[in-house]
Amino acid sequence: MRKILMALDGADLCKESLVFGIYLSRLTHSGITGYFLKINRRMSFL
Amino acid sequence: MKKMYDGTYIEWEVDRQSGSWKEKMQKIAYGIEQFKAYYDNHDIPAAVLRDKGVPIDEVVYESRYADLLVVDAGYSPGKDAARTPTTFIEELLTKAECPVIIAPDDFKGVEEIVFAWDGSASATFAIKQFTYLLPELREKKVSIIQVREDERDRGAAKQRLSEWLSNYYTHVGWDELDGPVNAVLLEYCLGKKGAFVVFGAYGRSMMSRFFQRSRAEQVIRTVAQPFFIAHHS
Repeated sequence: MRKILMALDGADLCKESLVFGIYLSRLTHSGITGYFLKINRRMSFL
Repeated sequence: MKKMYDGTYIEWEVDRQSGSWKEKMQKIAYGIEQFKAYYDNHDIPAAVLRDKGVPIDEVVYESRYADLLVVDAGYSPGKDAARTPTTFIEELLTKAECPVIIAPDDFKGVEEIVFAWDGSASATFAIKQFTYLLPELREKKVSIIQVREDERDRGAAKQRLSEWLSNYYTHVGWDELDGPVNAVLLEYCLGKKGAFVVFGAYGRSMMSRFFQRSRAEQVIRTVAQPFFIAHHS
């Protein structure tokens, strides 16, 4: 088991990255932890 | 406006009563439901964490207690093409405390592993991290690409790496390329479908160039290769 963290834009979920998450999860027999961001990602650079 | 010591600054506050904020919260709640349902349908355990403050700081903190951090390729270019596309990803690649995988937009499986290697500690560290973290891929074909930018002889280091890799992989080949490293690596990687590309030393600048090129060619949504990037601090 490995801890796989997936950073996701909660308001605009990327389905393609979820597909890759399935691959990684099955490959490593690990769960997925979704880290959901609520603040626009670009605001952090202001 | 706020006054503190002898300075004045503008303090931004989120208006949690605004319609746009509420709409965004609803979208996120829906996104989380989709995330859970998607993995539940595939019998994959899924957990959810929510951010509270500055995204980059929190993601970096969470990466401290993770083995792998996955971000999607579209995350960097975003939907607003007028903005600088790679700031978040670049910052994440610099600060993350575990290896980062840039997930592809059009994933079809892994047929081959490509290690970009320049003899540096960082490149070798990335190869070792990948090998330790994803031992399930040890039966895959491995290609090590070495770009010769100068006349330095890396024969001894190459021999040492070959010996190390033979302990873990059975199909290892070398590709030696000539030319400017970023341009050569970019061309090589773009042409490798079904490859899992591993970067150490080149990671940050390569990803930036990759997405700039992708954007220029309007193929942002068809990035086919996952990229594994680890840096040796």
